[in-house]
Amino acid sequence: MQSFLYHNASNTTLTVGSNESSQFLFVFDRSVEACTISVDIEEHAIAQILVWVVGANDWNIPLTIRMQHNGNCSNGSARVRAILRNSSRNTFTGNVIIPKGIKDAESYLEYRAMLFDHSRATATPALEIEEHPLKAGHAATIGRVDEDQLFYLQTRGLSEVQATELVTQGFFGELLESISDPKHKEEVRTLLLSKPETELSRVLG
Amino acid sequence: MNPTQQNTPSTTTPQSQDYAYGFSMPEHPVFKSAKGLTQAIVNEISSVKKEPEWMRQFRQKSLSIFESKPMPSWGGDLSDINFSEIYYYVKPSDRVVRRWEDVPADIKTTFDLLGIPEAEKKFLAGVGSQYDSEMVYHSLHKTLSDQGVIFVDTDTALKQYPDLFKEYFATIIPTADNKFSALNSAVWSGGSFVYIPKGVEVKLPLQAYFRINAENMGQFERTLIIADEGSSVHYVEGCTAPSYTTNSLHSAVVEIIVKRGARVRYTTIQNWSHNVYNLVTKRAYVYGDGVMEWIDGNLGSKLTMKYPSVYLMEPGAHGEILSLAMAGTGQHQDAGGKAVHIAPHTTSTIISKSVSVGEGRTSYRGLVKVYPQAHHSKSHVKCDALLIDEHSRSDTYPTMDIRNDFTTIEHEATVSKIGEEQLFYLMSRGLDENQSQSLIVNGFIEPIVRTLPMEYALELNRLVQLEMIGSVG
Repeated sequence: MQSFLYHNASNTTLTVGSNESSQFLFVFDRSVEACTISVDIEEHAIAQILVWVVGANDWNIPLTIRMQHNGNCSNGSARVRAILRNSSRNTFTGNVIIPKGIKDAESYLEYRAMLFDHSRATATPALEIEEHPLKAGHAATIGRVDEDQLFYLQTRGLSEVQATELVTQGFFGELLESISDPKHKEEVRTLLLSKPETELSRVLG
Repeated sequence: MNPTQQNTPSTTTPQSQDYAYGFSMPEHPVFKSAKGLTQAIVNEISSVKKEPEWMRQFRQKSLSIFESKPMPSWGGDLSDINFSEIYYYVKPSDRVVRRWEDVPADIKTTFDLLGIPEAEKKFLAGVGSQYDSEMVYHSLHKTLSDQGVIFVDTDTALKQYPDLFKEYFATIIPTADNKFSALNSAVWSGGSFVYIPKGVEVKLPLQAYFRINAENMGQFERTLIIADEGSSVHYVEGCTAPSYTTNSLHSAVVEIIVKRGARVRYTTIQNWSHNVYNLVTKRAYVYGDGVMEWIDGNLGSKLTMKYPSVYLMEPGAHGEILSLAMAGTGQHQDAGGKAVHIAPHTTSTIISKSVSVGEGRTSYRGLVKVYPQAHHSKSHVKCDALLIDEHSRSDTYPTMDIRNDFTTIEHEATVSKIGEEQLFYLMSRGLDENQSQSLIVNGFIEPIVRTLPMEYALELNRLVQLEMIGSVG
């Protein structure tokens, strides 16, 4: 599987040709202009989009993912993880399009955001399905750190800050594991850890 | 299902094979307004109804708001609606009667065909029926009226309970909320007015039935339900219209106030014929520890755009929206719900099930909004779509706008086609393809059917079967 990494990308148009499979990794860790990621998926192609959003310091990160199925048996998935702190904002619009005549497409759209300190998230993961898909689904969750998880970790001797960081690390880490290219996996990990805003490095160090 | 072709629909009884409620009765209106919408017609409606001056002014103001607002550019295709071709007010009978025997014969026949008196016989708590623009029949179980329960048509409420009426009317859905709420505010007629006093629990459901008989008719009923502290009520409405070749418009406004600790369930089985534009605004304000449940079944109409909403105003308020949409060829159901968390410790659930048959199109459109002060609020949204044919279409447009970091919001959705294996299994047990499909669809919508009173659950199952007939492509 081919792998491409984008750091704070602006508008990006992608195509995955017939029988190809590609993974597109996006990391956003500062305020950006409205960014639209648009991907066309041809016959028997597989496109995976993985996105990490780190929000801090009143940053505004508006993000749109448009995924169009152009061939039979095309397979697309887009998964977003956002950790938003310090009054940052993330607006996510997802749009999966399966036009008439495209058979047996498979599509999945997922948005999960964790909010801290008066941050805001707005999510619209939309599906427009004009033809029988093999499978099409979407999911979204927005919320704060799970209290039970925090409590458990604190009973094991971690401070509240440490426990929070461990949980957020797991939240990002789940998606890190899906990266197929080992070099890119390391790069994304470094990007996410190097941010003092995430405070991950402090916990792990 | 196509509307039956009829040259003189108002004097014959078109029997559409597809649409079970496609009969129509000869029109004998006592008063029918001219076509189209003008200041003069709005004044005329108000004077025929002998309304107070404030209501006439309210209608005129609403008319100018309606004219100033653009048509919505989202949702379904509204380009075929011609506001000047619609009769805004038809009065079928010159007084509201309380005894079934007094209802004019042809209106009675229509309702007999719909099964209204049977409902009465089953000791249902109260039945109100709206025929074209006016409520013609209204009764309320005596024990309930002794407890102070009010269930009358909205016009009567304006005359009999002017203070209560004025206190709540148009407070939940302001005239300028959207173009169609403004239209309704200008030409509203009929609908139900329900008041449940403190602590009164109405055990049997209150029922209303709405029917459009006249061609090119607009129906604009206005319903207001007030559940005072600690009370509970279940209100059920059904809707039908005969199959005419030209389009009719139904644009209702439903306002509900659920006070502290009260509980309201509002069930709709909408089965308009397939030439009715159904553009309805429904909203409930829920106060501390109150519960509002919308159960919204949309099977009929050409285009439905309806998103029942709950506004959770005080801590402990809970809102639930169960939406069922079924669209056949030529139909577009744009349905869903809105949950707005204004106070902390509020919870909401939205469950949407949609089925597209033939070239039918269903859309889920929803909003979950959490205001900054609404900490510890929780919302769960689940929408499932089932596509029966290759040409069916399903869209999902959920929006979550979360402005507080101390909340839990979940949304999930799936779109699937009817399972070949399930079909094969059922057919191997001796069912034909149609029966098997109906059974699978019934299973899919079961969580919604379960919440209905029995007669409605039966009707719904039967309607679903009717929709499924001949759907195998």
